[in-house]
Amino acid sequence: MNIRVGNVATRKFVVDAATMQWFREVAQDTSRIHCDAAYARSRGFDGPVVYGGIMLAHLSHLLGMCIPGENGASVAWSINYHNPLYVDEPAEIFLEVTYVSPGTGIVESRFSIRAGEKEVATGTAQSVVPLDEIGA
Amino acid sequence: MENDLERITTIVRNLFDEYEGPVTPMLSARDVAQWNSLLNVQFLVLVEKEFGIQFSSRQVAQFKNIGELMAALQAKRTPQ
Repeated sequence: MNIRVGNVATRKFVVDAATMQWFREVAQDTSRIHCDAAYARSRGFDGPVVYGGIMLAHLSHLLGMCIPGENGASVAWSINYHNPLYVDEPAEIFLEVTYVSPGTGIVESRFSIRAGEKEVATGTAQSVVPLDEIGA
Repeated sequence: MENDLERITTIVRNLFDEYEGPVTPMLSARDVAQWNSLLNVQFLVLVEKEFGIQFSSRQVAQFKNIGELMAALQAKRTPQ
């Protein structure tokens, strides 16, 4: 792969109840905003809020399978959550390369997660790749 | 050069946040417990972005301390 600034990748996803249950068991996070619909509504949400960790799993897919791909390794991630994503709500994650360093093999990207017009989260990711995978 | 050291010092303090010793041209990875290979590439990228330059892979492999890094920065400013 010849990674360059401006390369993009996207992935559409929907988080269903089964995935929420799976993540709940993996993370052992039973916080009520993710598990208790009545409680979530009492806090002003439309229903249980999708775990941020599940959204990061989709970031992991883009980084590991698309940019920088299978030969990369993540060095740093950051994410800011802006609006809730709900169960069964279609969403899309968009990733764009913002910086490449041919000397070090570092690739930096920014990403955003949207559900229609709603911006759910934004963040950045930094990966290191073999030097020959970075474009001149 | 003095200003370069100040700018590099800021990066060192932010990235290697457990290091409290002096930042001099002689400082190297051996002096900073946090300064491993992974943080080394992050450090060099922060320097690249701070100074608006990019290092070659050959330079990256050769840097032994802050002083050599500063010399490389200076060389990149000097017309060839």
